Amino acid sequence: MLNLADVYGAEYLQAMQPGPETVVVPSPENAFNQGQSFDALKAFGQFVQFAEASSAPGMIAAASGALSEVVRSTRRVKLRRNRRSVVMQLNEGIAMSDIRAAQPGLAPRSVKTLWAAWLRVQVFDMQGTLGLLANGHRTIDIVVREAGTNTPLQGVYVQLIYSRAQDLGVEVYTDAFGKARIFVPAAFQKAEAIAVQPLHSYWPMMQLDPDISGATITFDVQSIAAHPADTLRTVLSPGTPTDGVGVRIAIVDGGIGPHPDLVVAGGANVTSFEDPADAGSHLDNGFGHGTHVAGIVAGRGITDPRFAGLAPGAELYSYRVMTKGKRGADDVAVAEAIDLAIEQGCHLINLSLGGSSASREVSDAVLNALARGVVVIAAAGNGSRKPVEFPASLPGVIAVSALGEESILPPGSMAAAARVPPIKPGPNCPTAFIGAFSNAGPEIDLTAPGVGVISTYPNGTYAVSDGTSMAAPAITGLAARALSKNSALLSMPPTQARSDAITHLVLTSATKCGFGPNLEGKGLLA
Amino acid sequence: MKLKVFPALVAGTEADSMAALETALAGLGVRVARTARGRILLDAPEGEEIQKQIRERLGQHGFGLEPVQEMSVKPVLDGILEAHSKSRT
Repeated sequence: MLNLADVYGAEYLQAMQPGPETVVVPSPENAFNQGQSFDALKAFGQFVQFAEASSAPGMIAAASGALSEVVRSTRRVKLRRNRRSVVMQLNEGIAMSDIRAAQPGLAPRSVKTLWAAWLRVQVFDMQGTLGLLANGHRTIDIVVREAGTNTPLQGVYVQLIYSRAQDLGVEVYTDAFGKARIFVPAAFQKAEAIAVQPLHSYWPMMQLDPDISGATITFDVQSIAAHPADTLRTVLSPGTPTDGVGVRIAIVDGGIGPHPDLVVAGGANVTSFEDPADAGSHLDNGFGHGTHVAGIVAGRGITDPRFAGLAPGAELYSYRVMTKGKRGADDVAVAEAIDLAIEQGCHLINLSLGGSSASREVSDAVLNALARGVVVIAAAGNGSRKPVEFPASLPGVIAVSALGEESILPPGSMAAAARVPPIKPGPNCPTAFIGAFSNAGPEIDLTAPGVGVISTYPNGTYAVSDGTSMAAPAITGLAARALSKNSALLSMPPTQARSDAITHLVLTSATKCGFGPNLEGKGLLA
Repeated sequence: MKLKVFPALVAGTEADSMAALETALAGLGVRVARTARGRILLDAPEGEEIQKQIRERLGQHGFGLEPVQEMSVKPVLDGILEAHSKSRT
C-alpha cells in the first residue's frame, strides 16, 4: 500500500500542524482502476481523496450514498464536496467511533494530525499520480529564494502542472529552507508549467514548459520592495487624498482588511451557513481577494504611499459574499449584497467575480441598481478569450478586460507569462497587451490594468495579483474619481438617469489602444 | 450543496412558513437559513436521492426548489495555460 510519507517525504509529515479532525475516505476511482469493488476499497484506508471520475459513475454514487448516510445519521458531520473530492469534517461533540458505528463498512481513518499536510499535498488527480508513482519515481527540489539576497522563502505555494488538460499536477508549499520536494512519476518527462506564488510581498513567478530533467529548480523571486513598479501605477496617474470624496463604493467580494490603508465605512456579511465564529464579520475571509480589490479602488497609501489606490477619498462598503477561505459565492448572497448597497446609498458597485451561467436573482438586483442610479462594474473573467462571464455580460454593466504593460513586469513573473500579442502603445504605456487570461467579446466596455497589480493584502502587507478582478476595481476607482469632480452628477437623484449619465461619462473618456472592441471595448481610461 | 426554496412564504407569516419548512425537512439532515432579505436557503447533503426526497417533501407543503448559481474568482493560471496551449497548436 502507498502512504503519504513514501510519496511526499517524511519531512512534510513531521512538519504538520494539528487541525480540525477530518476524515478522508478512500478513493473509489483508484479501486475502480485496479478492478476492485467498492467494498474492498472501504477497508483500503489510504490518505487519498475520494475523487470523482466520469468513468466510474456507479462507484461515485455508491460512495456518495454511504457518505450521505453518515451525515444523515450523525448530523454533526460536515460534508464538503469539491469538484474532485469529498471530505468529511467532524464537528465538536462527535467521535470517530460514532462515524464507525453509523457506517461500519466505510472504515474512515482519522487524519487529525495530517490535516495540514493533506492541504499541502492536495493534487489535481492524486490517484493517477499515485498510481504512476508506484511504478517508480524521482524527486525534484524546487527552491524558492528572494532575488538579490538569496534568503529562502518559507510557505510559498508551488504548483507543478504536468498536464492541464488531464488535471495532472502537484501542489506543495516550501519549507523553512525554501524547498518544496516533489515526487515525479518516472513516466513524466516534461511538464507544462511551474507556478510559484508567495502569499504577499513578492511577485508570483511562472515557468512555462520548464525543464524538469534536473534534481533542483531554483526560483529567484522579486520582492515588491525591490520591484515596486506595476501596471496600475505605470498606466494610470496615482490617486490624491481628495479623489473619490463624496462617492460611496460597494465591494461585493470576500471581505476587506484589516489593513491600515483601508477604512471600511460600512457593509455586511451576507453569507449563509457560515460558522458562528466567522459570521457577522465583513473583514477579509482569509483569501485576500477582497482586500486587494478594495486597495486598488481606495487604498490610502498609509503604509506605503507608492501603493495608494485610485480614489483614496472614497467611502468603502464591504459586502462579504464568500464564506471563510472560499473563492465562490452563491447568487443569493450576491443579489442581497447588491440590494443592501443600493439601500445604503452606494454610487458604484464593484463585482470582481463571475460565472458561466446567468442568475435571475442577480440580474434582477443589477437592473434594480441601475434603475436606482447605481453603476455596476464587473470583471470580464479569466477564461482566456472565452465569452464574457455573467454578470459582466449583462446589458448596462460595465465589463472590464485586463491590460498589462510589458516594460515594467519582472522577467519570469506570472504577470510576464500573461503577455500575448498583439502589443500596442497606449496612453502612458509603450508596450501594452491584453492579458492572455482575459475574456473577450462584444460585451467588453473598457480595459484597465489587470496584469501585475500591487495592492493591499490583509494585515498591513501588499501583494501582486493578476486578473480581470484587478481591472474592474481600476475602473471603479477611476469612475469614483470622475464622479467626485462632477458635483452636478453626484447630486443627481438616484434614478436610471444618474447611472446612465455616470456610465456615459466613463465610457466617453476612454482612449482606444488598437486591440479591437472585443478585447478593449471603448479602450483605456487614463 | 446549497438550494434555494421558493416561494419563501407558503402559509401566513414568515414564522409559519419556516415552521412548515422545518416540519417538511425533519430527519433529512438539512440546515435551513432565512436570509436578511427573506430568501430561504438550504444546506443539504450531496446526492440525487436526498435531493429527490427534499423536493418531494417540500412539494407537499407548496414549496419549490432550485440550485444556487455559483459565482467565483477564478485564478489566472488556468487562463495563462490555456492561452499557452492554444499558441502551441
